[in-house]
Parts: sequence; C-alpha cells; structure tokens
Amino acid sequence: MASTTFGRYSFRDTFIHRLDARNKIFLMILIMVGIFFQFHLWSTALLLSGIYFAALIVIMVISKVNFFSLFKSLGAMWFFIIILMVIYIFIPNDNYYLPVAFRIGSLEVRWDAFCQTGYIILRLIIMISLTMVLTSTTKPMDMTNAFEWYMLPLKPLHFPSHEIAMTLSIALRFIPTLLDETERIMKAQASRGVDFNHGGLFKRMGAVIALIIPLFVSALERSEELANAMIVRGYDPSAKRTKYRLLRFSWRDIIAFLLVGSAFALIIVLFVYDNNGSDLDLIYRLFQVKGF
Amino acid sequence: MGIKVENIFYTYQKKASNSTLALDNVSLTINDNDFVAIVGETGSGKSTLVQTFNALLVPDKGQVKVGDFAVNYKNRKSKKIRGLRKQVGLVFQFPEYQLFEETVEKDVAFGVKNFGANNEEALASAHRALRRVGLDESYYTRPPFELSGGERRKVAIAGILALNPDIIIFDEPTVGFDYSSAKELMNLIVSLHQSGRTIIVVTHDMDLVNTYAKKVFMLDHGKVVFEGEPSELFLYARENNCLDIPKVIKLALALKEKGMDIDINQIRSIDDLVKAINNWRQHNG
Ligand SMILES: Nc1ncnc2c1ncn2[C@@H]1O[C@H](COP(=O)(O)OP(=O)(O)O)[C@@H](O)[C@H]1O
Ligand SMILES: [Mg+2]
Repeated sequence: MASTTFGRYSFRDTFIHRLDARNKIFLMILIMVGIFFQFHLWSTALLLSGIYFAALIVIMVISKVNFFSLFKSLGAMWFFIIILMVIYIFIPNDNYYLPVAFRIGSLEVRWDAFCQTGYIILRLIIMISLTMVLTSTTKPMDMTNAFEWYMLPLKPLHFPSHEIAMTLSIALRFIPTLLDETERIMKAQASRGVDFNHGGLFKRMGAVIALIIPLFVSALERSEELANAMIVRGYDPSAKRTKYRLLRFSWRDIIAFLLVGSAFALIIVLFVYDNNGSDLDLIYRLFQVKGF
Repeated sequence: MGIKVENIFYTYQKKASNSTLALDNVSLTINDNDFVAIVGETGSGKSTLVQTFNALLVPDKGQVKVGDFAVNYKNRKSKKIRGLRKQVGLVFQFPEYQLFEETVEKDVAFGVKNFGANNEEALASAHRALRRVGLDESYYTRPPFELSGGERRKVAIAGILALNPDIIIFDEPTVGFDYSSAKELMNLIVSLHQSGRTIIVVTHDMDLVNTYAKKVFMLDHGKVVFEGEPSELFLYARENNCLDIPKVIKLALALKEKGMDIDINQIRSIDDLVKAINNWRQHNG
C-alpha cells in the first residue's frame, strides 16, 4: 500500500523550518503569484519554468523534505495532462505561432499546444510541491497563529478571525489522522477484493467510492466527538486568550525575504519585457533552424 | 488450509528516521482447522502479523506460505494475491467503519461481486452470511448507517463471511462489545470453526483465549515469545508477570498449590473448575 506521509509536518532543524510562519506564508504566496504570471514567448516561459524547478529542488534539499512519495504520486496526473492536451489542441487560438506538428483532417495542431500543456503541468507540480514544503516545515500551530495574525486587521469588523484560525488548525491537525484512516479503510476494502491499483476508469471509480464514503462518515463522527469534547471542557470561541509560543522574525527571515523579493522583481521586469512583444523567441528560431 | 510463517521481518516507514521494526524474525505454523489466538501488548505487532497473512502487507524478508501460495517480496505483485484475499478473510478492528453502500445487503454483497459473482449469486451469499451473523430479512434493505454499532459490526463481519473464506482472521473482534454481543460473536466464531474453517483471533481477552483457543502465540516487540496451549500461556504469564490471567485460572492455580490435584489444562471455564473440585472431593472423601 502506498505510504501517505508527504506534506505531514516533520521536525528537522533546517533554515526553512526556522523561518517565521508568517513570512513563509507570505513568500510562498509571492512565489506562487510569480509562477502564475503568464509569459507569451515560449523561450522565456520554458526557461523560467526550468529556473523555478531548479529553485524548487534547492528548496527541497535545504528543507530536507522527503519528496520521493510526491513524485511517485504525480504519475496519477496523466488523466489531467490528456484533458489539457485535448483542450489546447481543439480550441482554436490565434496567438499560436510555432510550426504545425501534425494535422488531424483539416485541423492543424501546432507545437504551441504541447508547450502550453507542459507549461501548465510544470507550474502545477511546482505549486503543489511548494505547498507541501510549507506544510511539512511549519508546525500546524504556527500556521494557525500566522493565519490569525494576517486576519488581525479585520478584528474590529467583528470578523471571526479566531474561529477561522481554530477551524484551520483543527483541519490541519486532522490531516495525518485522515491519512491513517485512509490507509486503514483501503486495507479493509482490499480485504473485500477492491483493487485500488488496477482496472479501468469505472472500476477505479467504484474503488474510490468505497474509500470516500467511509472516510466521510468517520470524519463526521470524529468532528462531532471533538466538538463535544471541546464544549465539555469549556471552550469559548469568544474568550480572550494568550499564546505560549510567539512568532518571531529573525535574520533568516530577512535573507529569505530579500532572496524571494528580488526574484519576484526580476520576474516582473521579464514580464513587462515579454508583454512588449519582442520577437526574439529562441524556441521559434530553434524550430525554424531545424526545419520543422 | 494452513499458514506457515517463515522468518519474516517487517518495518514501517523504511526510509524515514522514525522507522519501526514491527516484526522481527517471526516464524510460526498454523494448521488447517486450528483455533489460534494471538496475544501481546498494544504495539507488539499482532495486527501487522495478521495483515501479512492475506498479503495486505508483504514481509521485507522471509515468507508466509498460505496453502501453496507464498507471500514474499518476490510475489508482492502476483495476480494470485486477489485469490488469496478471498481465501483468507480478515475482519479488521472496528470493521463497522468500512461500510459504504446504501443498503446492508448491497454492502455485504459488495465483496462477493468484486470476486466475480453476478448480482443474484452475490445477494444470495449476502443473505446467507447475514442470517449467519443473526441479522434477519428486516435488515436487508436498511441503510447500514442507521444501525447500532454492534449491528454494523455484524454487517461488516457478514461482508467477510459472504466470501466464504477458508481462513478467517479476527483482529480484536469483541473490543467495545457488551457481554452478550461478545458472547454471541464468539458463538458464531466457534460455529465457523466447527464447520471446518481455520480461525485466528487477535485479542487481549484472556478469558476468551482460555475458553476458545486451542493454541496461542504471544508477541512482544515483534518477536514470538511464547507458543503453546492456553494453560501453558498462563503459567508463562505468571512467571513473567504479564497478561491478565483469568480469575478462574488464578483460583485453580491457587487451589493446586494448596494441594488439590487439578489439571490446569482442563480448566476452560468456571463449570470445568467446579467439576474438577467435585471430582477431587469424591476421590478424597
Ligand atoms: N501504519 C503504520 N505506520 C507506522 N507504524 C505503524 C503502523 N502501524 C503500526 N505501526 C507500528 O508498528 C508496531 C506494531 O503495531 P501493530 O501491529 O498495530 O501492533 P498491535 O496490533 O499488536 O497493537 C507499533 O510500534 C506501531 O506503532
Ligand atoms: Mg492491533
């Protein structure tokens, strides 16, 4: 049975683990925004994706997060890849400029469709991996406190920032439990002949239902138990509370901030350049040289 | 069908720094139509061990021979594993959490269909299994989620029985049951044993071990530290100050020490002890 441990917080003493959670969340969002800038020239787009990917590997190595299982589970993305391909091949797009790869009847399929799919998939993988770095290097409690901190300005508007933060932290706290539960139910259903790894689409769908429903039922039962346990122990969402651990900004945060900040600035510059419509596309030239 | 476990090792989270060696060179033999209990403290590896019997977990080293199939690393992707899962039924701890169909009968039939039966055959097996666990027609079309915990567990057990396995493993089947439900369940297990199945029960309940098991294995930190009959287990437990020895055995042992001639082997229940005492009285005036 597949191990389902990726994305779970695990303690290591690394640079990234020690960053302030508020800073980590902010930088993560900054990187994601940067990644989602759409570049039009393929050479820029793919070069940048390569750089993002390299940066991701560096981050992974520094944070000592085990990504083996993540990359294994990416195999499941083939379905998504096919859908994207179909969309990009069949929906006409006037901005495509690479040569024609092949024709289906009167339909010209340009290399752009493949570049586009690759570009999206690559960015998606990077985003998922980054989220995983965040959750596996940040204590759930710190994460909650950071969310609460970001929602502070809304407090005067009677925005339920504490309740939302508490809900988030409970949800995060339950991820490992749910993963254990998933494994348990998968085994129980496998004993009844469910095969999670083989079979056609229809069969697999059946297998997923046999997993999802018991998972929901047990999650709902658990949440009810937890709510009752909290009420019994006098939990009051509106009470004033103190914190045992405070979030603290350190020199590491400044370094990380500067690094990510300057990378982001660079992306903006490139983005402006890209949108000014230069025709210096290396990929385009490469295709021409090769005589496509 | 029997099971032969040959020098198996199993480690959880092999690559991680917090890996656990859950099975440490375990070897044991379970014969056809045995009634075996597996005991040991929480975390000693009982559940891990029984999950290797139907290849839910595959040993890192060594093998488990079930009939003529060997569960080992080489065969971990064998097509025969599905067949094995039909022959070796595993009832998990708290099996009530695996139900998901709209009706009880559909849920019980689900496994049978997975193994290739058509709808009618599957429903027929489901009904047979449900009657066997004591749920009558009135339950067939009810949603499983409306049932009580005990009834749900019966449905889940029926789901395994419907597959008609040769070997049935129960992982702590009576946990959380009241006295009469537990008794009812044990009667069911005994009748399954009498109809020729091999029964393996993982349990903490020493009364249950004493009353029903023919053979016991005790695990400790992933190793088999004891194997033998229940009465021998209790002598071992007294020496090593572990396990919760049944009161009737404690009493029998105490009487024996006071000079009463009692064969501990024969004491499976209070009635047995009463009989033994009466016997002794007759022979000694
Ligand atoms: N899914 C799992 N992941 C990691 N460790 C596990 C897992 N399941 C069990 N273990 C560990 O393996 C050991 C044996 O567990 P288990 O076989 O469940 O014991 P038992 O059933 O005797 O209580 C324990 O130390 C337990 O913490
Ligand atoms: Mg167990």
